[in-house]
Amino acid sequence: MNSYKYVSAAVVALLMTSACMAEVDGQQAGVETASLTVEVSKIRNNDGRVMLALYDHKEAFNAADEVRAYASMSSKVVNSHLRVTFENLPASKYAAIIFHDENSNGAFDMKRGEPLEGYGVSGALHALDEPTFKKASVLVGDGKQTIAVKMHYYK
Amino acid sequence: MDFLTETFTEVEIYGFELTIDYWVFIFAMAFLGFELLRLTVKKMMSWNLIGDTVTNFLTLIAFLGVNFTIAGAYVGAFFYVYENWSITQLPINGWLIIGAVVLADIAYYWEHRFMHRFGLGWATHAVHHSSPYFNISVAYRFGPLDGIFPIIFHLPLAVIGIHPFVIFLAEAAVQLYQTLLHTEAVGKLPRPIEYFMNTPSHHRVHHGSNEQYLDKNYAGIFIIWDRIFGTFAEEKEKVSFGVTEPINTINPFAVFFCGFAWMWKRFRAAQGVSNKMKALVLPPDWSPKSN
Repeated sequence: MNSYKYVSAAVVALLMTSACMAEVDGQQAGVETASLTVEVSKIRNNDGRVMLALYDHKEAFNAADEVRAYASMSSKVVNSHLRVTFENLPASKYAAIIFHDENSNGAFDMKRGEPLEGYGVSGALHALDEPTFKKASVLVGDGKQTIAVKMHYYK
Repeated sequence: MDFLTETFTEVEIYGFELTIDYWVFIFAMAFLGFELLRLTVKKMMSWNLIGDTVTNFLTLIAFLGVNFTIAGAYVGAFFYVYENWSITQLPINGWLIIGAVVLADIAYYWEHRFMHRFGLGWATHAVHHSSPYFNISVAYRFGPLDGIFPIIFHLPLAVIGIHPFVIFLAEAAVQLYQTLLHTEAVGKLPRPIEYFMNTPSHHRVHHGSNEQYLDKNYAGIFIIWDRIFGTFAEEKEKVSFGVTEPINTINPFAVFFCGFAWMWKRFRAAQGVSNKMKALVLPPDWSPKSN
């Protein structure tokens, strides 16, 4: 795994406060809008919080840089599952990266380059898959889109 | 036992695979050193054997190159089936690993039998059998498409809900077990072991070009599949290693493509469309003349 992804995510995570808006108002005059639902499954417990970032361009996605994400949020977990709908999205491609901050310390914890907490990327086939933005993203035009993301843990 | 019921993550399963790959390779290299020393003491050492051994590892590099190129499609196929066509998704624990190894061993038996009896299968697998020697380096002698045919035979494991990483671990376990059988330095083992398990003795038979040893002992880990499906032969007469038409070369390119050279010759010799199609699919002992 690209460790820098998680390190930068951890830094950004520290800056994050409580839950951001789950519904993002991106409506602008003349811009086509639609909704995207992100379904996060296999969260291994309800501890801590889950942090989700939605990316609309590959540079921020590659760096897992939540500051440059289209939207980012954090949420409590219920029933090992999280479902978030973003509405009024401008037409674009979107990909999601999710972290499970189990100990609520605001950081994505790593040890010797290995994640100690859960992570998930849209379009990833398995725990060691690092999809490109092209593979991770879905096109949101008009209408409703859904992407499913499975969480993975090293141990 | 903890191992049987404890659940493992995908990453841990992958870690197990890397671990067994690593330790078997280390052991095999040490064992190869012992075998070469043994042959030297027995005055059976030759430059041809050394060249053949080096060529075995060169085919390994070429084989890994092919596998690396198709890895994305290989992994993708298993996950596609697992996520879309599987009847269930079984929990990843020790029971699943043991079950997967047994099922992968059966799948390997049929895959291996197919590689010997299907024309294009033999075109790639003949490389592995083309060495006139039998030491652990022969286990690393591969043909160009040896990594492709296993997909077909192991995808059913994903259909019944075995996670692809567990399937890959099981495939590796079967392959690595068999790696250790490529030696003349170990005689027959105690009878119960020879009855149930594949052994160096059984696998020497598999590599024999003696008439009675042809197309026998396809097993990976358990020899019982050969006993059940009627392809078992006991090691009696001294084994003559290699293919029925010896390739007489240690040139790595000639070796790596020897099966396809054989296939091309057979394909060219076949007259008419129907015979040419037969040349691609029928067993290696078929030739147009016998028709």
